Parts: sequence; C-alpha cells; structure tokens
Amino acid sequence: MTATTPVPAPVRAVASVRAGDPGRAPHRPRAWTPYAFLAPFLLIFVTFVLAPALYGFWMSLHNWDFFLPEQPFVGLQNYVELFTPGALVAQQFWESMRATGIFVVLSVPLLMVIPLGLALLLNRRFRGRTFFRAVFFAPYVLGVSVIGLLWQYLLNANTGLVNGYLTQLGLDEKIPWLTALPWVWVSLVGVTVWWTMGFNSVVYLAGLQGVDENLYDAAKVDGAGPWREFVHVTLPELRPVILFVLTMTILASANMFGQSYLLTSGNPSNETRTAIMYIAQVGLEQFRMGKGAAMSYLLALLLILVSALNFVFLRQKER
Amino acid sequence: MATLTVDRPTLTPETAPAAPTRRRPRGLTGTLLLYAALLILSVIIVAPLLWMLSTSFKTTGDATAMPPQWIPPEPSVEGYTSLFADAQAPVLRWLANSVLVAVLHTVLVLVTASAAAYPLARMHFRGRNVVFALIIATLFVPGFVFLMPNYLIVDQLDWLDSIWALVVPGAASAFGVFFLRQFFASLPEALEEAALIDGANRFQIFTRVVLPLSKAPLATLGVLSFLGSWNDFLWPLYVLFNPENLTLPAGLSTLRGSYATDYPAIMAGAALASIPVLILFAFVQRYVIAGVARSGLKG
Amino acid sequence: MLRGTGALGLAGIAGLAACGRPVDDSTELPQVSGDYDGPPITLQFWNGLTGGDGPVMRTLLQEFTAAHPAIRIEMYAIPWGNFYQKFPAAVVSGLAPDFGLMHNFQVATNAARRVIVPLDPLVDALGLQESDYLPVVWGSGLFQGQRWSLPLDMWPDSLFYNRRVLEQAGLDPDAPPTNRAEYEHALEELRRRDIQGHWLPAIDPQGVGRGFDSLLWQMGGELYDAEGGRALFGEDAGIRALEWQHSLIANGWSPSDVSGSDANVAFKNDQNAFLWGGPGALINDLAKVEDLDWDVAPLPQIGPHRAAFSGSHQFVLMRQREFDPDRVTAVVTFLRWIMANSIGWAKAGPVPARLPILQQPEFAELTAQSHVAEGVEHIRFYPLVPGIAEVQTTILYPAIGDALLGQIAPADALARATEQASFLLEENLTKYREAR
Repeated sequence: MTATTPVPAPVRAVASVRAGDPGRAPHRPRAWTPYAFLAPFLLIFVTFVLAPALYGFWMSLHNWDFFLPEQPFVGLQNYVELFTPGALVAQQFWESMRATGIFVVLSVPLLMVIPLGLALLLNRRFRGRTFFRAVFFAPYVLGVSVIGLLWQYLLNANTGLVNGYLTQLGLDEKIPWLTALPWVWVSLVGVTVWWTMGFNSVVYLAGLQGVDENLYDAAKVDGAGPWREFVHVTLPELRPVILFVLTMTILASANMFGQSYLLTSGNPSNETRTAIMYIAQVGLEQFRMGKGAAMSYLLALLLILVSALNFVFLRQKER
Repeated sequence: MATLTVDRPTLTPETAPAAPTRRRPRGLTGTLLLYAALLILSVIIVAPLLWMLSTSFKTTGDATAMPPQWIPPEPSVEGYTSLFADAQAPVLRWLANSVLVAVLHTVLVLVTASAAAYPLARMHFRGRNVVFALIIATLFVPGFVFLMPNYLIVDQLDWLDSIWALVVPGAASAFGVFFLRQFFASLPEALEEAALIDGANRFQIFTRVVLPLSKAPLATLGVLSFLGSWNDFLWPLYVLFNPENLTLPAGLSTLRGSYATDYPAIMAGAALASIPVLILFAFVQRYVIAGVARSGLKG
Repeated sequence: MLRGTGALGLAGIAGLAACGRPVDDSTELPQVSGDYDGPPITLQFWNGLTGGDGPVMRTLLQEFTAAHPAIRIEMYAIPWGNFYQKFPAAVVSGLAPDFGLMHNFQVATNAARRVIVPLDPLVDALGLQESDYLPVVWGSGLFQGQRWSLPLDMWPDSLFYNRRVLEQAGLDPDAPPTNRAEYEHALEELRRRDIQGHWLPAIDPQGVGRGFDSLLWQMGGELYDAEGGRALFGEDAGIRALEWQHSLIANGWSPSDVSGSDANVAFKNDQNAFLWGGPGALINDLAKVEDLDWDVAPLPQIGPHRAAFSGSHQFVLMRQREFDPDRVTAVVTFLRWIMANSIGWAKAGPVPARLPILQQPEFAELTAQSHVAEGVEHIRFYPLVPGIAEVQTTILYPAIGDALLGQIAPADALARATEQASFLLEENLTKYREAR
C-alpha cells in the first residue's frame, strides 16, 4: 500500500518528530543498530519509491520512447505540448482530465452524503449492528476486476439484470448503461458508490462514536429536535473527519482507472477515458513514456495542491 | 506500484482508539424503520453478489434469460468446468499465483515495516527525522507517478514477467511504517527496559517483547496489505506477460474478450476471485474495519 | 543521512539513465535449410487467439508435434490489445518468444520498431511463391523492400444473414442482397414487419469502423495518401460512406446506440437480419448457437466499386538478442508445415491465404468459409504505414462512433478526425524515421 493519500494525520506526526519527541526516554543503542533495522525497508524504499519519483521527472524531460535508440533531452517540451492548443496530445489529455473531473464532481458528493447517512443509521444501538456494518463494507474487499466483470454483466443493455427488472416495471426502452451518455456516468458513479460507500461509512462511524454524548444531552435540554441536533452538534463535531473523508475521496476518485477500463473501455468515444487510463495508454501501451511521465507529474501536482488546500482549510478550522 | 490500488482510497490509520458511544433508536416504529432501511440497503449490496454466484451455476442460455431467475432452472457447473478446461485461461494457476504473491508481499511488508518502525519509535540516531519525514512525504505523492519509472526499474532488474515484480516494489509501505511506528511509540517502555536489564539485545527485545505486544496492528496491516496485493489490477496488467504468470484480477480482465457472452464462465471466474477474500474478510473483518476506522480519527 | 539517501537515489538514476534499452538490431537471422532433426526442443509462440480460434490453433500444434516429435510448441494467447503492448516490451527485455502471429496492419509498425526480423534469409527455405497469393496479400508482408511476415489467412468482412428472419419478412433466404438497391429494399421490407434488419454498432472499438472502411473503398476513396503522411478519409467518398451508415439509423433500419455485442445477440435471437463482420469472429460463434439458421455472403456493393475490409493473420519472427540456428530451423519447419496444412486453420473461420488451398476439396466442404471466399478478390488492406492501426482505432473509429451516435454530423466528425490524425501521422513519420 505505498499509495499515498495525503492525509492530515501524518503531517502532524512530522511536526511531532521535529519537536523531537518520539518516545519518552529513548535508549542510546550501538551506532549501527538503528540503521540495521532500517536497512531492508530503505533498500526497497529508495529503489522503488524515492528513485522512481526522481527518475520519472527526469524521464519527463526527455523524448523517452521505449523503442528509440536514443532518448533525447527535450527540456520542458513534453509539458509545453500539454498546453499547446490544437496539439493532439493536449486535446486528448485534457479530454481525459475532463472525464476525471466529471467523475470527481459526480461521485464525491454522493460518496460524502450517502455514507454519512449510513453511518448515522449504524450509530444506533441495535441487534445485528456489527453484521450490517460488515455487509456494507464487504464489496470494498473485492477487487476492481471482479466489480468490473460483475457489473458489466448486470448493466448489459440487452441481457442485464438491471434492464431486465426495469422492463418488468414497464420501462419500454432499454437503457444503454455502458454505451451512451449520460448513462455511462450514472453507471460508473453508481458502481463506485456501491463498491466504496462502506469504506467511508466506517470512517464516519468511528468519528460519530467519538462525539461527546454530553453535547447531545445539552442540545436536548435546549429543546433541539433531531435535525437541529444534527446541524449544531453532529456536523461541527465531525468536521475533521468530514474533511479527511473529503480529501481521501477526491483523491480516490481522481485516481479512477479500473471502472472505466473494465466497464466502458473509455466509451463512448473516449468520454469516459480517465486521466490515469490515458496516461497508462500513452506510457505503457504506446510506450511514449516521456509524455506519460509529464502527464503524471502534472496531475500529481494538481492533486497535491488540492490536498494541501484541504489541509490548510482543516488547520484553519481547528484553530 | 505493485500493490498500489489506484482505484480506491488508501488508509492511514492512527492508533487512537474509538470511544464507543451509541445512541438508542427511538421507540418501536423507529426500530422497525431502522431495520427496514438497513435491510433494503443490504439487499442492494448483496443481490449483485448472489446473482454472480447464481449465474455461475447456470447454463449459458439461462444466464441471459428474461425475466431474471434467481435459482438456476437447470443447475450446472458448466461455467466452472469450461473455465478449468480452457488452456488459455489457467484459472487455478492464476489463483495460486495470486495467493503466493499476496502472501509473500504481506510477509515482506510486515518484516520491513515493523523493523523500520521500531528504531523510528524508540531510538535516537542521526538522520532519523529526515528518514521519517521522507517516508511521510511519499504518502502525499499519488501512486501513478511511480508507474512508468518503476516499469523501467523492474525491467532493468530483469523482474518483468516474474512474481518479484509484484511482491517487492510495493512492499516499501510508508503507510505501514507510519502506522506501526505510532503504535510502538505508544507501548509502555517498562517491559523493554526490564528485558534490557536481563541482558537482551535490541533485536531480541524487538522480536520477543515488542512484536508479541503488537499482534493487533500487525494483523490490521497484514490484512490490508494482503487485500491490496490480492486486488491489485493496473500494475500486474502491464508487468506480466505470460498468461501462466498472471494473477487472478489481471487474468480475469482478459476473460472479457474471449468469453464475451459466456456469462456462467465469467461469473465462475469472478466468484473464484471473490469467495476467498469474502471468507477471509468474514474472519478478520474486525481488524479491517478497525484499521479503516482509525484512519479518520482526529490525529 | 539525507545526503546518504539522496546520493543513493541519484546513483540509481544515473545508472538507469546510462542504460536506456534500445533494441539491438544488429542480429540477423541465420540461413537455415531442411527440417529440424536435433534434440527435443520447445518453441514459444505468442498470439492473440483467445476466442474460438485458439483451440483450432492448438489442435494444429498437436498435429504438428505428432508429425515432428522433436518439436513442441508452447502457445500463449493473450487478447490482441495486450499482445501488442506486451510482446514488444518482451523483445526489448530479452523475454521474446520465438515467433508470433499478428495482424497485417501491425506488421509495418513492429518492423519499424525493429522488434521483429526480416525473413528474407528464410524465403527459400520456406518455399514462398508470389503466385500462391493475391497481390494485396503478398504485398502485405513487404515493407521497405524486405519481407517481414508470412500471411496465414485473410478474413474479409462479409454479410452474415439470418435466414429465418429474411423468410419471415417474405424475402428469399437463398438470395441475400448483393447491391445497394436490393439491400435497402430488404431492410425496408424488414422494417415494415417491425424488424430492424441491420443493427449497426456505434460503440465497439474494433468493429465499428471496419464497415466504414469497406464503404469508403466502395465509394472509390482512400484512407491515407501513399506515404501515410495525410488522412484522406474526410474527403467526399468518406463522407458519403458515413452518411450511408448514418441513414441506416435515420431510416429506422437500425436501432441507435448499438454495441457490437448487442447486434450479435440480436442476430442470435432472430431480431436482426444482417451482420457485417469477419469470418474468424463470427463463423464459429454463430455455429455454436443451436437452432440458428444463418449463412454468409460477400458484402453487398453499396457504392460504385466492390470492396471489403479484410485483415490477415501473419507469422512473424521476434527479434532475439542472439539467434539459435536450431530454434530458427524448428520454427521454419513449423511454418512450412502449416502453410501446407492451413486448411486445418480454415476451421477457425478465416480463409487460408494460399490460393492453392482454396482449390482443395476439403475447403469446399467448409460451406461458410467457401461462401466468404467468393468475395476474396475484392479485399482491401490498410496501407503499410507504421502506426496506422493506432490512427484507425484511436482517431478514425471513435469519430465514426460519434457520428453514428448522433453526436456530430458525419462530415464534421471526419473533418475533426482528419485534423487530429494529422498530428499523429506526423509524429509517427518522424518517430519511425528516427527508429530506422
């Protein structure tokens, strides 16, 4: 799980390290001992995380075609091209960024609100609570390849279960869930919500359980109904968790690849080809790795910016 | 990256435990409404999975019959047998590859992350802050950035088309180190001091005192690593070549083409890939959910 | 420590940057002759035969091994899209298989990348004869004056028709339409009986555009100029071809928003009368459906000329870091054998590329295949231009899809695609010129 979601918690950890407070009374070991402990991890870390992070940037400054005998240095040309109006790569890249953007805008609100509702339900005391929690979480443990195969079958316009039931309900026209706008987005977002809502719910739930019960009692004394209680107690108390879930969900949605790859193959006419899918195509199918690397860095920069903004926002609210 | 799951959120738990404060539902109607809502939602979640299982035992014709039939009219294992018999889709081989890769990967993550987390939690040494900051910083870099350079690095190591390409590169778990370091730091030091006085060295303290006390976080990290590796899709798709070497998720995605409308066979493949993890999840859901739950708590 | 780690990382990068991995194209095939008669040997054969064609090829491999016990061939089939991504990478990384099968329209690309090798040293050993092939097929393996591939088969897009549906509409199932007037008449008769006769896929990365290609050639057009620097599909012939396709939907002869598999399923369920498609994909697929009454004929002539898109599977030898004469001899032994026995391959659906095979009585017994072969002299291939398949599938076909989905007018879709293609064509020209 090297992947890498910016979250607030580790940042505070960095801060605490700087403050020099790891444990209370660290022993002074022999000089080489800590390095010996760290060595296996660092070997892998340097080779597969640190080096590639820099190497990728280096690649992005070259015309790095896997099959060319030479990879000439081109400076920032790969980046410039992404901003050249009319250039095919720029067109297709921004088209894919648009697809990613649409997916983020459509999926994030649903993935924020529905799991919160679910968590509120699960936060009550009743029999079978653990069971239901596990059921809602279950789809998340399945990989995207299973999700893709399953929903491709369920959403097939002619033979799928979904249209089968809709026909029985009296819908005459078969809905092209996986082949036409706007249905492709409904499908991709719907499947993603089905797949990952349990994850966000569990995070919310933990947050809800941390809310001080006394605050609710106080609200009750003030004569607040359930709605005002929710608005004036639950939401403010959950703010850090909500911002954390928001950051995480935006990043996960911006990383979307498998659903499009498996369900719509980017169709119709590349409308659902996401940025990651396009980057993989350019870099690892067409082997234009320099261009692919440049796109990765641009997208990564944007995402880090979004996380940073969220983080700043979180810090301000906490103060 | 090997276990990089670019499709999904990743986890960054903290060790702060949750204080369980649950609220009572109001009255009988409230309870009934609550159960009704939960049941409807559960049906939405579970029905597709049951449909997958049901279809895997249907004949090809019944799989697309309308109206939908939940109980296979003529139960059949055709889907499974045609899948197993197909030389082009060595599903059992894929299953074995996936298990092997996920287990090796998980072991490697646990060993390297716990060993690295220990000195970061307990020892003072030159460069500690820098190392820790570097590890944390990489948590902020989206995984796809590593895709192309790591492809070339793995190529240079002659690891393409081998399980090492899946086991090792993703094993540098910055999340794992961070997660375990926080836990180790929260352990009382008295036990370790006692062992030190008894003449134990650092390594002995680590393996005999610290690790046995850390079963729960190790289990959480282990399960998450296992799931991440088991479900990884993008990376194996590109670094594996021979059909014999594929993992189940990458292999399954190739079935779409060849079995275009043979749904029982496709669903049999999907069921094979999901049943092991669902069973695993049923047993360890406590750890998974605890791990996820901690991720959002105030740090 | 920071300096330490940083230095380590930088050292790694410097090392990697120093060893880029160009393909070493100095190696050449050795001259070989005669059948392989050395110790047991196992060859690796990669291809994209993941459908019904895979088992047919495996049977042939077994027959070959029965005749040549010393040579065993391990076949790895991965979906074509993955194959074209993986095998060049495998060649560069020294994991190349001995030989492979690829589409005619990918040969020039991979020749330019130098991941396959010219077969000229083997021409005599293989007993290749120009007179055995149609000119377009013979020429499809020649690029820059060298022979890169060995055509196995050809699979012209043909008209598959559902006899029962035609009968229901009062049409003669023994006389499928052969020209535009007959075709449109049949569709109109079907429509009057509430049957949409030609489900035209608008969403399907592979199949969507091939009908367009056939029609464009029928209208007298060309896809690209001779050297592959300019796209011509946006000119008059292309516009008329696409407008005719569009009229199928506008006239109610085809539903809108159809995918390739929708059309296929509808055909199998007697809801669709005509499918345009290749014999490799469809003959065995349709034969599997019990109780389906179908046959196949050459594509109707919609424009002033007869023409049909066709592809061809062609054998290629992957470039190795070093060629082992024994392995090459064994591969040649197999290729010679399969060229003589490609009638066995016809069972998979395609028409064998060697014309003498078509004269064999066994071929006439394959009814569907021999009906397809009736139109074989009119086949057209994509031009031999490196990177052309990518232009077709990533630019032209999506544009066709857009137009058929009604998102953009046919002429506009083609104009836009022409402009987009100009970038890729130019990039390809530069790239593959450098690669030489």
